[in-house]
Amino acid sequence: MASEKISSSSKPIAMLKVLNPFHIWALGVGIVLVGEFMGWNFTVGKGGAYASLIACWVIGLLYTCVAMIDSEVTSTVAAAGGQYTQAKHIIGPLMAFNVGLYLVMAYTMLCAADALVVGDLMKSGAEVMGYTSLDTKPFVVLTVVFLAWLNYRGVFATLTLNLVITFLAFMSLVVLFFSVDPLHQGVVLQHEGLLTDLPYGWIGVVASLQFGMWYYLGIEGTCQAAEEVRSAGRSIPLGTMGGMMTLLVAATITWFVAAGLMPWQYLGQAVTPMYDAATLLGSSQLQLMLFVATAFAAIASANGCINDASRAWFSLGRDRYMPVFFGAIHPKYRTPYRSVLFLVPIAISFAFTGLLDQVITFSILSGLLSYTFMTFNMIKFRKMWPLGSIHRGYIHPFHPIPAITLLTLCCATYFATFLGYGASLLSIMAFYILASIWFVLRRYKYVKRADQFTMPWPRPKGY
Amino acid sequence: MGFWDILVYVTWSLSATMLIWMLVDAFMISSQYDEAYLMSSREGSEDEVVHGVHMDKEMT
Repeated sequence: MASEKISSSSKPIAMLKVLNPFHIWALGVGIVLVGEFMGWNFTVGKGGAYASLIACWVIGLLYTCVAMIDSEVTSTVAAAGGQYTQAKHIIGPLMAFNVGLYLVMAYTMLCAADALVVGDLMKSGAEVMGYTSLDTKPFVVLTVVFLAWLNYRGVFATLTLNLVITFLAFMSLVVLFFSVDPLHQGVVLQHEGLLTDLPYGWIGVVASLQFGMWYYLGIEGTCQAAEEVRSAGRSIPLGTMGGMMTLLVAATITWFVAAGLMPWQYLGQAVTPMYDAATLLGSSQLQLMLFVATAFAAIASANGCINDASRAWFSLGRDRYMPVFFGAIHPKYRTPYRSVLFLVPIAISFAFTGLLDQVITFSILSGLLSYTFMTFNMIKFRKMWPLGSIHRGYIHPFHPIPAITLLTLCCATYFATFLGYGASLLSIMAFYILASIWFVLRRYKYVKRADQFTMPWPRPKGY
Repeated sequence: MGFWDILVYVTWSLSATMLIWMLVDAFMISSQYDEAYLMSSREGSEDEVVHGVHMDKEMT
């Protein structure tokens, strides 16, 4: 039977290069924007409204460093896997395995959390219409399966959908901003009365940094599309930096509107703060718009997460860091279809635990570990391939200041996480240490070392 | 049976249909194509674009 199968032609199979900078923007912003609709406001609970604003901009600086570093390295390593591939080329196999695992865990868990949000929104909608016992599970499953089906059938349609719904969700925040008459204090917005001093002092500001990541978590996922984008050296930096600017604007107006409408004691524990803001304005159209926009943002995030997690898993499989079975590409749709399928039951399993805060914490910490790696990666990258040795689509300025700033802010965020979720932090560290031991002792022997380096790069300096 | 009950059944059915479709398609692909071909992709293999190309080579 094997001889009847369609076998390899002269040209190896590859993913389609059909994306443009707008798709990259949609991938990055799409994953993140749900954090503007919910989650960011826990910063307020940790340290008050001003602490939330400080966290918004300090963590904004952290992610700006991430975006700059990612843009430079990815503009040379135009391959699926993103930071995993960077680690493989620049640091080594153990780091690459860990980074790959961070990416898969971060995005799969974030996808599960997004699906839970869609389920909860459906339940809220049913309750408004008088039905109080809606089971959320079928909607959680449908969200994951439908988006996996879309990802299975092609990246262009997947990210075009993300572009449309992410843009609409972002515009809903802009509409909300202009609905509160932002230029005239005291008419709708009550910042003077609502903004207080730091209720828990500066330690509250530090503690709020952990949840400040919700404003931007996932923007680094843009580089997972590097193998499917036309002119990656130009498109990835454009899409990523454009996405980062969009998020800085979205985060700031989100804080400005919510902090001017709700006292920090309420805002700090609200589940859907932007929907609550629309409710306070007394407009049913705004309420409906924010409800739909929250659902769009959660779906866009889950969609981007499936895209990124499958590319990371596919890359691990292609290099035999995981079973090579997952390194297959669909001959018609040109997607890593086995990786997409494999992650469906995992995402649903995480979602069925119902532990939204734990799932999100694991996701955030996996992301944070990945950002910490980037600092060492960037320093080593510039040493091994100095400027002028290979073509870079983008060169980030002031090196090594962004890398040092990123490392400093990562350390501060680890401390903030330790304050609130110390046990989770330690258990996640233990998980990755055990996974590393497994990789060294049981898995690395299957890796074909020469086969994993197929990029036409020059020999690094000093080698 | 009310609207929401029907919606729940439709939701489960849609999920099952799409999941089965993907599984069947994946199985069909595996039976029609050689594994070596499905796994023949290489990073950077089509990237004679500019990425990672040595500056000296690029200038010539």
